[in-house]
Amino acid sequence: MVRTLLGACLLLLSVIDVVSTVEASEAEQSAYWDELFAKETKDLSAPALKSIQDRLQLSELIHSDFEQQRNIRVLKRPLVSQGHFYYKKNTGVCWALEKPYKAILVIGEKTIMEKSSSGQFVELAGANNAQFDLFSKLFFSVFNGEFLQLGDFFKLYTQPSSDADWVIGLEPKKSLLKKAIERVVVQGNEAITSVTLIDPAGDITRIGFDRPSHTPDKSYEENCFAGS
Amino acid sequence: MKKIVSLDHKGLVWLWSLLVIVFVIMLVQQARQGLPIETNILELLPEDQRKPELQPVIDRHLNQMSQRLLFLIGDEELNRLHETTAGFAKQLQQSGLFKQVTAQVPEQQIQAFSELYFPHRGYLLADEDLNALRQHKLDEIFQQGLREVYSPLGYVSSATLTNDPVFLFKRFLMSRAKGQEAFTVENGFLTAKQNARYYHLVSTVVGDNIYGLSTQRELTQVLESAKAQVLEQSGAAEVLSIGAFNHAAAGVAQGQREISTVGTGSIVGVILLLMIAFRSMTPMFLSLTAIAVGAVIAFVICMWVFGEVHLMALVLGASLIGVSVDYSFHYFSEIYSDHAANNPSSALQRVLPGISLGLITSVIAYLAVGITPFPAMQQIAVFSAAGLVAAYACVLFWFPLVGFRPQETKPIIYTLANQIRGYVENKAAGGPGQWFLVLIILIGAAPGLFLLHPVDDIKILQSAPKALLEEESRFKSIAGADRDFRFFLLQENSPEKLLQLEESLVERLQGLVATDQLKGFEGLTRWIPSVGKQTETHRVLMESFKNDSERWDAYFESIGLTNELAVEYRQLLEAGDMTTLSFEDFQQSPLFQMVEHLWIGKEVSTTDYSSVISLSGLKEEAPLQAIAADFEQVHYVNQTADLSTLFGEIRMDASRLVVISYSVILLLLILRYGIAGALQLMAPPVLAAAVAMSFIGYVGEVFNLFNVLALVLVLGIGIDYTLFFKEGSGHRDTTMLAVLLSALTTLLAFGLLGFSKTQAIHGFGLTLAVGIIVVFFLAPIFTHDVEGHRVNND
Repeated sequence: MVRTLLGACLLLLSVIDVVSTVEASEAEQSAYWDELFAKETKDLSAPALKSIQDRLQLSELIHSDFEQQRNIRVLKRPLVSQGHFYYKKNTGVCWALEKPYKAILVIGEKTIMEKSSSGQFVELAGANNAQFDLFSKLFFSVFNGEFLQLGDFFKLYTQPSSDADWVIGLEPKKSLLKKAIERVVVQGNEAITSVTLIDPAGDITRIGFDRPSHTPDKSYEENCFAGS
Repeated sequence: MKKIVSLDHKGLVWLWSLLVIVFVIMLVQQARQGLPIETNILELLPEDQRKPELQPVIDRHLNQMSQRLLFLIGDEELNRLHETTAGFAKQLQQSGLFKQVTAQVPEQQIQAFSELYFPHRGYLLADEDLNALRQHKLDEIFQQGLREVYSPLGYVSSATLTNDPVFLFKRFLMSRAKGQEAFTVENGFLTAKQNARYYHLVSTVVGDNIYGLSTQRELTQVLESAKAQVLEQSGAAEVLSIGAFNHAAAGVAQGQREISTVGTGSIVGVILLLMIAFRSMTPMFLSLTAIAVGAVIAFVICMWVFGEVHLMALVLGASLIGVSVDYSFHYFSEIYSDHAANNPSSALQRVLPGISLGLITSVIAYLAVGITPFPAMQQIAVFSAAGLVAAYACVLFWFPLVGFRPQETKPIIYTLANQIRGYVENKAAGGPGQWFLVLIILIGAAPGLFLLHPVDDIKILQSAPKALLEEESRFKSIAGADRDFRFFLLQENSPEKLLQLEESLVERLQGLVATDQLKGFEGLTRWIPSVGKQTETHRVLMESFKNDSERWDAYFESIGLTNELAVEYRQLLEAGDMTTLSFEDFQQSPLFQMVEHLWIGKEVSTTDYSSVISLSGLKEEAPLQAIAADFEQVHYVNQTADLSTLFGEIRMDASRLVVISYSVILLLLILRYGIAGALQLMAPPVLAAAVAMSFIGYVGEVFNLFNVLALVLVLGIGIDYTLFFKEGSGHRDTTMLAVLLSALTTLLAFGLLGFSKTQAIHGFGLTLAVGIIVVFFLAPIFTHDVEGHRVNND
């Protein structure tokens, strides 16, 4: 029982950096920077949220191609991975990674699982693992359009944008989380088009979503959720 | 016998009165400082003689554990829960009763955990990684690294990749936390989630001995008010707790309830019986005085001898003193036979031989019990013997001072008693009839004796209320882990050797976990590997950097780490200023506080350092015992089983003592009455004991030490009855009245003990009740025609 305290603290630590030795420097910031930060921001009001939710065509099911690009300042080149993203309400979020290697990761309500090469699901971590918990909460809320659910962790803001497009920014409230995440920016029109994580040292992870679809895809359904 | 004391000696009367006053004053003074009543059930048990050097170490660990008290505060709404939990913890803290209250972990402290390990990360690896490195299976490690950097669920930053590009340190931290996923940190609180409810953990260490009555009272009050405050703030809230204190408090509450039930029951019974029998206030007043004086003196003497009085001794001892009322009954009944004379002195002269012999035999029986190495039994024996002597002295010195003129007409109960006497004597008394009865009883009882099944499980001493057990199992289902009461004790002559010993033991235990024979275990080396292991870990890592240099380069290239950083990382881990984490540094860190209960150190006696590995989800004991047997310095401790074994041994000892005390009493009786007379006097209690035991066998109750103790009482009380008849000046009618009154009050007192929820006390009451009923009917039969020495006072 006592170990739990240590255990939980260490799990939390695993999402934050132990010692931040790398400081952000303006010059190195990527091209997204201006787009995301140059514009003025204001707190997300209830009508503004309502208007965004109206524009966003929420659905029980959405899937799309995704490309994740990580711009880490100490790396020589961005880390790029690609695959298919599949969201099904009340079932889970599935990341079917194609490049640079194949993998299927499923975030269920309680666990995060990875499909092994033999086709069996292996639990990566329980929902109580702080890192996964945060990511699953984030993605579930974003794809449900339930931004307010993130209110416990983040301060929500918005930026002016063109008619169809919108931007919601999330700023961590708690100092521990602030050490890991500077802010999260969600962009979209009738669907989510990108989620960007910016860390305090200026590293940026951007996941772009392309070719969204609401029609079920049998092969992904089977690959992702059957037997999970 | 009447020459024992000169009854007209006023000096003795005054002396006795003075003595009683002194004792009362002493009790009152002690009561003002708090009565030293002990409630820890384990205190009743003798020291385990088989592990004399280990016992203090084990006791220290058990004490430490008993002082831990954990709470889960639950609510549907997280923010409200933060507030109520903080309020709850604050109230506990302010009470001053706790040595430690931990609810919210400050962020700095969380940081402190990693700051402790981070500077030594070249020496710390997860076991899987260490094994992979040893076997040159670097791909397993690198693949996980790739996953971390490319996966949408991974977390990567410049800082991580600079300090820990292969995530070795991260995996080390994660592997420490393995198996503890039930809790997350929410706002600094350890939080578990179940059925859409959140639960915050509050862990505390009670400052004082949890078995002290005053601590219990104060603690119970504080907890109740803290719980009430939580519930007041939120209707949806709930408070669960787990800890030895809950059991102790429940045991005491139950003990006190039972004392008051049994106490009230026997007092009311005695009053009613005396009123019905004698229709006057005087006998009642005097009898209650004798009981009260007996209890006071018994308590004070017990306090002197043992420094404390155990609750259990108080429950049983108080009932035993109830036996002392028999002397009063006998005295007042005797007055009936001579009501014209109304001479208390002469009535006393006539009952004196009977009650004196009764006292001697009872004291012999009780003291025999006291010879057991069982502190509880010693206390009960001293308590009862002292109480009986005091009550006897009251009858002797005070009763004759008060005149008492009984009613002319005999009471109904007198008639009833003698109808019973007439009936049983008519049926079976005298000559072959009574020996035929012996035969029938023995034949009837024999099968029951073979049906007895001894159960010496120490748990019968305690009974946890159902609600408490349910709360505990809810707690465990939410919190996940369940600590077993069994553990390993390790000893070595230096902390480093101790940690190394633990590491070799842990390797064996991991095998048990892998084969599902054990759910988990908790040891210090999870948090502080031995310097030996750290050095070895570092060596393996350095060797891999050197021998598999190209593969490391290839990995760094694949994630795109700059060459400078790739070199820098390896140089940093290799550098001389990165050293092992010492046990001393670990002890200084806030982390140590949390695992302190696993460290016993050198504080208690022995020349060795000791530590503990606790276990959870344990199935079979044999593999653990086998493992312990392979290490000279590792002991597998199952205190409950050890105590239960001991308990069984004591039951055997006590049984022998019962036989011895029966024999001593028989010898005493032979000296006075000859063999035939003595056998007749002994027959009723011995037969009653046989019937009582076989009854336990027939109804399938467990047989243990407490049944044996009840047999001692059956003997003590039964012998009183036959002696009262034998020495009772030929007034068998009034003796029968006294015996009936006595049997009824005894049944009232012990019959009520039969309702006790504590199995031990329950069995005690049941055995005694059956024995007393039987001896009541047998006593008049076997004393009907005894020829022999008869005291004649008229």
